[in-house]
Amino acid sequence: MMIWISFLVTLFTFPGFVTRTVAIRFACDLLGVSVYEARYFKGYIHHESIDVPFKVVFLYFSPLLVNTFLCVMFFFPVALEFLLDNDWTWENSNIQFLLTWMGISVGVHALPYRLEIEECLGDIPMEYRNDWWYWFLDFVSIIFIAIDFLRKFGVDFFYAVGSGMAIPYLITKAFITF
Amino acid sequence: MVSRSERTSFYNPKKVFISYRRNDASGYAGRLYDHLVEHLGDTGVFYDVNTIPPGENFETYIEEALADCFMCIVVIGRQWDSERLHSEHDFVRREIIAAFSREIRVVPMLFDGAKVPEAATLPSELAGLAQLQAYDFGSGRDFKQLVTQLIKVVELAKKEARQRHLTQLNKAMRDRALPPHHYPIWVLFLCGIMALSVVASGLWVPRQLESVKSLWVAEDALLQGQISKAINAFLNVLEKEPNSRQAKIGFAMALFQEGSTESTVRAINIIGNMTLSRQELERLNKTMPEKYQRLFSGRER
Repeated sequence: MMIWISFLVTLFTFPGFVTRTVAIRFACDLLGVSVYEARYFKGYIHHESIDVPFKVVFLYFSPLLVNTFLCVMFFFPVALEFLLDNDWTWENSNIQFLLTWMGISVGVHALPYRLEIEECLGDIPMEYRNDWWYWFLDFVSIIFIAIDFLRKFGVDFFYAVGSGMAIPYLITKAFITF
Repeated sequence: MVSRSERTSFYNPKKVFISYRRNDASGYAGRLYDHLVEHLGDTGVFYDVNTIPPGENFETYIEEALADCFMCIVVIGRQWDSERLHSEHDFVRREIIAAFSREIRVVPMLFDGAKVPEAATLPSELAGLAQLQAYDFGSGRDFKQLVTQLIKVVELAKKEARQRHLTQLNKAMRDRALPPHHYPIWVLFLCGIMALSVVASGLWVPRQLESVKSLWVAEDALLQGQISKAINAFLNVLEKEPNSRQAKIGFAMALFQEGSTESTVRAINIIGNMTLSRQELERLNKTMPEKYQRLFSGRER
């Protein structure tokens, strides 16, 4: 049952799923990390091993950055429509519905998976594991692992809608105040 | 799983090899082993007496063991007979040659006033040994302190070995790598659509931001009783966003507050076609004349 739900969610949100994989591939290209295999529909990138901590963290967190950024961009006009309390109709609001769908589809694939977090921590070379930032990363990882546990309760959806609405609101507030 | 890094094609060496002669400084080698084990663990040090299982071929076992090491410590005492290094059957000779050929860091460790043999007295394959910086442990009095220094060298060698391992691995795999920034056409198409959507939404946003700004200015003016300012600001919003419910209701409230018959009729016309929620109606009732409130009561959605 869960597998079917997960499959349907992936199908419904395929632009976000592909974007997630493209984000990793793009991060690899940007950092000069060789990629041996890329399967966008399977969400799989096989890349060379890395021993620079910044690169490891950037690579594993790139979907979070890219998908959240795109989610906010798609949701921005939608969030402003809510602030203006505009009436939505099927006839007049096609673009708003399209942007909402795209925003949700990229937003639900932003959060890292538990396995990725564990791989990220495991890929940091031993000599860096006593540094303060490693402990910080460890702490952040615990939060993400806890979030991963909440996946079956729709945390991805809440993250997509929450960040998609809250970040534009805060930006608007800042823009108008200053 | 979304990404996987390559780890398996080459072996990453993880041990320190202790090379010594049993009739020379085996006591010191044993002490050294104990200290290194404290730092690297049981599996982190190769020391023949403890590590070779009974029945194993001594020669092949040592050569295979060196393949698993990133550093070779050569323990040299007073009885370290460099003449024996000329014999091809000498194990110490084989160990050092194997270490050199594998480009492992070799560290001579001197005890009891021993010195590294001069290059001229060494076989040509081992001449490099004379050039290496040695650790002089003297009589082993400050053993613990010297071992602490040695550990730093061990860590450095470990880092070098890991780097070498990664370089080899990446070199071997580079031929298999996909060209950077080359994506399938359908991925580019999808990214293009995404980029266009982002640009489209970006073009839309400035106008909306201006409207939100005017709306907030109008709401503030209404709260402070600056009616004409509020009316102008609400009109400004409605010009750009004619479907904004909040602007319509605020505008109607401002018109009701103005009090003229003309304004009241205009306000009634604006909200007359709207299906109002209970909250919206409650808000309107704050400024709407009582006789009109009856018209709208019971019509909320």
